[in-house]
Amino acid sequence: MKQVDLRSLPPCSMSTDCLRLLDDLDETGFTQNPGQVYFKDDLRDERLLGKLRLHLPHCPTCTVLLAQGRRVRSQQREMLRDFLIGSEAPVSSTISDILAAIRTEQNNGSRPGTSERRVGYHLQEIVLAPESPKLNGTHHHELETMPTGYVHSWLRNAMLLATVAALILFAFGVFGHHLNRPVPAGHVPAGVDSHGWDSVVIGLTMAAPGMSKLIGIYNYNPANGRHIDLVSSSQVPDNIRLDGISPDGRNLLYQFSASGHTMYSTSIPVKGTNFFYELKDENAVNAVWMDNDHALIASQHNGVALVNIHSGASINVFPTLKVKRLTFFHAPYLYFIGAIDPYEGTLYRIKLNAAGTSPQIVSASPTGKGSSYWLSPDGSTIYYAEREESGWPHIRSANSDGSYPREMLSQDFTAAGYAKPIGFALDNSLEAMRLSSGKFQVIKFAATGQQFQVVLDDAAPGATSLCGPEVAAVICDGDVAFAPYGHGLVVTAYYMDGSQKMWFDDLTTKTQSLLLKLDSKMNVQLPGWDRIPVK
Amino acid sequence: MKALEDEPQLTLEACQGSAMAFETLVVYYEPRIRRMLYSLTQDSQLTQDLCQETLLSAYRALPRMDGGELHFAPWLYRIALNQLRSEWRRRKHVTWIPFASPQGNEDDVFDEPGEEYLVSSELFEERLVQRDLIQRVLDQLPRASALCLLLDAEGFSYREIAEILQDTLSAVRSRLSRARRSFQQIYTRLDQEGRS
Repeated sequence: MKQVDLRSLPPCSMSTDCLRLLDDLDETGFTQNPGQVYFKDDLRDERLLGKLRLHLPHCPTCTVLLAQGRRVRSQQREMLRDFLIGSEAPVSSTISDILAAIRTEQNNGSRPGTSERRVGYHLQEIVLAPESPKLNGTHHHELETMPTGYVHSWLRNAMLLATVAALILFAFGVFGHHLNRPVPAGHVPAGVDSHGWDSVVIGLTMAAPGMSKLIGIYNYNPANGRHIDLVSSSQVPDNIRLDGISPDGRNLLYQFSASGHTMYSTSIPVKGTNFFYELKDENAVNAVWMDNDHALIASQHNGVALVNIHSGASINVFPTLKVKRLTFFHAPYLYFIGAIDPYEGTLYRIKLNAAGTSPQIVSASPTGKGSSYWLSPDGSTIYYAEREESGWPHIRSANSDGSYPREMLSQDFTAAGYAKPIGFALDNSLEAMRLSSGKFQVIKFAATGQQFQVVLDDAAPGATSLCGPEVAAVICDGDVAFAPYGHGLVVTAYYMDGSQKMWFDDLTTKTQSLLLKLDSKMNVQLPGWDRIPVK
Repeated sequence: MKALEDEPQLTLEACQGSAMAFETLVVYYEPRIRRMLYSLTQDSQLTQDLCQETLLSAYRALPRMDGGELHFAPWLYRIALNQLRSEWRRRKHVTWIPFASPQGNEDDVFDEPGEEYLVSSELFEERLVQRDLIQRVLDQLPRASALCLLLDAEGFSYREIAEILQDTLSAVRSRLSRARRSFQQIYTRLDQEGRS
C-alpha cells in the first residue's frame, strides 16, 4: 500500500474531521433515524457532517485526503475480510453441538423463560405417611453393637424416625433399585465401570477485597488439555460450593446461596429451574450423593432429607439427626459427623433401609476430630488421619462398623512427616500423601497395611503447602484430587510468593504437567474426577 | 452487515420459542461468530467454547427479548464479545498452560502434515505470509481498535458497531479512524521489515 504525498497541497483544518467522518460523507443525507436517542457528541457530529458536505467541493486537500482514505479503507477491508474468512477453517464448526444442546434443553424443558420457576414445588409433591403407632415404641428397636461410646437420646429419636422413614422409602420404591448399589466416599465404588474417569472438575473463584467473582466451573481433561465450562458462571453466584461427583461420574452436585436461601443443583440441567431443592441459609449443611438420581441433604434443624435430583421430590429420612457434616453413603449406611458435644467431630453411621436401627459410632477417637474419612471401595474399612496439630503421621483405620481400630502409619514406623489418605489404587489399597523432606510424596500401602511404597516422589515441586493460606495445615482434601483407581493426581499447590499452581501427575506414565498458574486471589475447588465428556 | 433473509421474522419467531427459527439463525451466524472470535483469539478451543456459549446464551435469553425491536446480529455479536471480555478478564488471574502432547504419542503422527502440504503454491504461501502479517498488525493494535476494524470488515455499519460495543456513534467514528491510521502505519512498517 502506498501513501499519497499531501505536502504539495495547502493544509486544511477540517481534514482530520473529513477522515473521521469518511463513511458518513460517503452516504447521502443525514445518518440520524427519526425517534432515536442521540448522545451530545453524536449530534455535534451531525452538525459537523453538514458543514463538511458544504466544505468538500471547495477543498482540494480534503478531496485528495478522502480519496486516499477510501482507497486505504477499501484495501484494509479486503485484507481483513480475507483474514476473517480464513479464520473460519482452522476451527471446527460447533453448529451440531449447539443444536444438540438446544434439543437437550428443550427435552428437559429447562429453557429459562419458557417455564416458571418452581420454587418450593418439592414440598407440595411429597405427602408424608402418618407415623405408625407400632413404630413409636423403643422396644421394637434392635440396637447395633457399639464399639465405643453410647447411644444418646437424640440418637434414639433418630432411630425411631429412621424406622418411619425406612417404611416411607420402601413406599417410594427408592431402595428397590439401589439397595445393593454402593456409592462412593470420594472415590469409585466397587461394581462401577472403571473406564472413562479421565477428567477433573476445577472450580475457580476470584476473591479480592470488596469483590468476589466466579471465574468458572471447568471440566478439564489433563490427558489432552481440553476443558469445558461445566456450570455457566452467569447462572450461579460466586458462593457456589461443589458437593461432589455422582457415583457414575456423569454429574456434579453443587449448592449456592441467593436471597437467603441455599439452592442445590447439578451440572445436568434441572428440569424447569436451575435447582432441585432449597433450604434457608442458616439451616443448610451439606449434601452427598446417595445414587445417581438421589442426594442426601443435611440441615441444621430438620435432620437429613432424601431428594430426587430430577423431580425435587424429597422425604425427611432422619428429621432429628444432628449432623455437622454428611461424609458419604455406602448402601445401606449413611456416614456423618455428629454435631452434639462432647462427641462433635465423631464419625457415625446409620442404616437407612431397615427398621429399628440407630447410629453407630465408627470413630470416637478424640484425635479424629477435624479429620476427613475415607471408606474403602468395598465398604469394609474406614481410614482417617490424625488431626493436623500433632504434626506426625498417624493414619488409622477401623472396620466400617467401628470395630478393630488400628494404626496404619505412625511415628514408630517412619519419621515421614505428616500424611493423609487421598484415595485408593486399582487393587483397593490405600494411597496417601505425605510431606517428606519438603516434598509431597504419594505413598501406597500394602494390602496388609503398615508397609508402603513411594509411588510419586514430588506431586508439587517447590510448593510449601497443599492448603490455602487460610488453613493452618499442609495437606487439604479440597486441594488434592486422586483419580479413581489411582491413574492420576491433580493438586493445587501454594507457594511462598502467594502464587498457586495446579499440577497433574499421570501415575501410569509417570509424567508430570503444569495445568494452571493462578494468582493469590483465586480460590480453587477440586471435588474430584469424573466421566463427563470434554469435547 | 448483510442480514439473513427474513431475519426480522426469524428473530421474532425465535423470541416466541420457535426452535426452527433459532436453528436457522445459528446456521447462518455460527461461522461468522466463529471467525470473529478466532480472529481475536487465535485459539481454536477457546473459540469453540465461546461460540457455543454465545449461541446458547442467546437461545436462553431470547424469550426475554422483544422480538419486534431486537437487532439480532449486533445483539449476538455483543454477547460474543462480552463472553470474550470475560475470558480475557479471567486470564488476568488464571493462566491455562498450553497443552503439550507427551513425546511418542502415536496420535501426533496422524496430525503431521503430509507431503502435499509442503508442495504449496506460491499464491498459498503469499496468503499465509499475508495472513501472518495481518495477525501481527492486529496484535499490536489496542483490542478495541482491532475489534472495530474487524466489525467494519464484517460489514457492520457505524451504528451497528456502536450498538455492539455499547458506545456512541461519535466514539466509534473516532476509534475506527484512528484504528485505520494505526493499522496502515504498523502494516507498512512490518511489511518493510519483512522484505528487508
